[in-house]
Amino acid sequence: MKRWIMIGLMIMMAALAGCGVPNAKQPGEAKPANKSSDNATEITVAGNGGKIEKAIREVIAPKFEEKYGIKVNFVPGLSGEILSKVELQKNAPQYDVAIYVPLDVQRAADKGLAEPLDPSAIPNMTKVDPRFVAVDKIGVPAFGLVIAPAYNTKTFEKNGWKPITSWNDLIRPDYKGKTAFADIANDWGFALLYNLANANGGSLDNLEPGLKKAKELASYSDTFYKNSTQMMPAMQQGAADVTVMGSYAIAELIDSGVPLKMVIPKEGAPLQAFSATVVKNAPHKKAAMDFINFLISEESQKQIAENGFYPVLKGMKAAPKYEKSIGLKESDPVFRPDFKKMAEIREQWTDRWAKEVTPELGKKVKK
Amino acid sequence: MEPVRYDDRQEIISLPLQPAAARKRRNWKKYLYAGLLLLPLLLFILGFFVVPMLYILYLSFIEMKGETNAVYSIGNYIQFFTDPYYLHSLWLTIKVSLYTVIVSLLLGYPVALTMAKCSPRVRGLLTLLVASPLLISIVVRNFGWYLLLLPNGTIHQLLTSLGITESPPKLLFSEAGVVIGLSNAYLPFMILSIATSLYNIDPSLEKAAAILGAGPLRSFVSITLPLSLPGIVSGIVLVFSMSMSAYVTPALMGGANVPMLPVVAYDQIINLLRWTYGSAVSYVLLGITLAIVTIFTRMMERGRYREVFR
Repeated sequence: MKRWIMIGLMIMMAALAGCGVPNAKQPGEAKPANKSSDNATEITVAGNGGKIEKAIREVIAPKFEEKYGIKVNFVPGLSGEILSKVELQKNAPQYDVAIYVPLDVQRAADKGLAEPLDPSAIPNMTKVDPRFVAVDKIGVPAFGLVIAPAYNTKTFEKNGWKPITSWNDLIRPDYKGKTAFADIANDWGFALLYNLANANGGSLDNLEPGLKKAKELASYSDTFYKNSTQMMPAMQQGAADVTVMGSYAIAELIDSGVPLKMVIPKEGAPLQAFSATVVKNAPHKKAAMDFINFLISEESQKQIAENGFYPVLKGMKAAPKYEKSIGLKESDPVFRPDFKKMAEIREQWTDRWAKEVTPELGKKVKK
Repeated sequence: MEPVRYDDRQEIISLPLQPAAARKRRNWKKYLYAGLLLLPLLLFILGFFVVPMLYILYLSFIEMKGETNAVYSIGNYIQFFTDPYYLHSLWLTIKVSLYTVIVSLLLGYPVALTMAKCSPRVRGLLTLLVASPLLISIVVRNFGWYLLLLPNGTIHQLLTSLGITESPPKLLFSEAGVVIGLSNAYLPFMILSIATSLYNIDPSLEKAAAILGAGPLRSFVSITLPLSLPGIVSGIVLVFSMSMSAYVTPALMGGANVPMLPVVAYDQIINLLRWTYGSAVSYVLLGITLAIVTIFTRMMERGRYREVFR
């Protein structure tokens, strides 16, 4: 018996030793792969599932392959998941291009998980509207959006509720239990927090007023959604009448016949874009840059606009079919948030939200 | 001529005379074959289970001081056990798992009993029915429950249109919703393990009980139930440990209201990129689950009905 325990222990030790070794070796191994990047036949792109996946798989990838002879493998995932995978694989990267939300572009930059981008390799970068840029020369914006409130006009008219014009209007006993807001871990949820702060005399430096308001908001809400895809059926089935979402999701709901109205509140709404980065030490760097350049070409951006995103090039506008639902006017107070600051404070406020705001959920719904 | 008589004493005497060395060699060979047959599985488990688990254990003992400065410490575990938020989440996880076990036991036992009593044809059909939910991904099943339970969803509309209630009880985004989702997902495991132990009960025992004057209830309480205990225990252990580690159901059915530990660990790792703390949370979960399961099975095996487990 003792001998078997000894053998078991030795196997475990060997396994533990094994953990360290590949990590130490791989940076050396990864190098030869880089050299062969010039004649890449395929690249791997990781990005959000759903609309981004659809646009790339159905339109952009086939055209890119036609033009460059490079096949695109698309791996769908949430932005945070992609970032943690990229971090895990940093010694042997599997992805060439990673498409993140702006906050994760910042985190990728901070952790050294993205290649610096050379504008000469991506000539279309000069045409990009700077308001969409999260981290200059690291992430190239590609799929534009605002995060904004939206409400069901039919229910609002029926009940005679005043239209929403401010972030503070989200907190009203009228529609208690009939709201769909994302949890703090989601971008839409974090946007809710800092915009409530903005609307009440706070800022990214001081989210305290936002947290206070969020507690009130929580007391009128049944839940905060862990999974943002669950918010769509909630709006469609009429389980919720008020929400905060990305404009592309609002556009999709309106497309499917839900009578929603997107609001740019008077305090402003954050304008941003899902942005493409080249993964640090990516196996096919040059092909990855070609892909990003193609992604922000006028031709591709037109297609992306057809999928409900704002095109990111200077002078381009939302697709005509979305002009009415999510089109932005010159006078709309949209702004570019400080993503660097946001990345710094996110952890701390996520913790506080979980401990202070979440317990308030539903407290005033039953009354 | 004297007939040859078979002398069985001789054979008995000759048995221990077999050389000990030969026996040992045979045993050794047996182990070798068994080892070779198990080798692929052992390698697989080692590579894809043991090594990653050890790596996560190693991570859980690293404390990050700032972005780059890592030190070995038990700080992650101290943080877990001193922060009421995480302790509450641990308690919530245990509570929801216990409810799930109770619900699936109460729903599952009658089904298992029916399966044991009916004709083989019906039993085959029932087994198929019981196992059929396992053919569908748990994500899909839980999303289905989510759509049914939504305010204004199917169940809500059914209840109000039948005039049963104006404001149906809130099932979604509550512990009740998570228990519904989990019991639905893990019920087959409970039913199948109880049914297997019911099949093994000798039917003549019940006849004997009846002859001795026991009614059906007495016979069930004194014979069937105790003899099915091994199945009940393994069902409870299976359902409890799977509920403890469930991620999809609490996230879909509980929203932010039911932060069970797997959801907390996921958030730490994926959303906050705190690998080391998330690893510690996972190991606390693993340790507590193992401890509860071990104590429970020990208690059952040494309790009143220990004879059943021999």
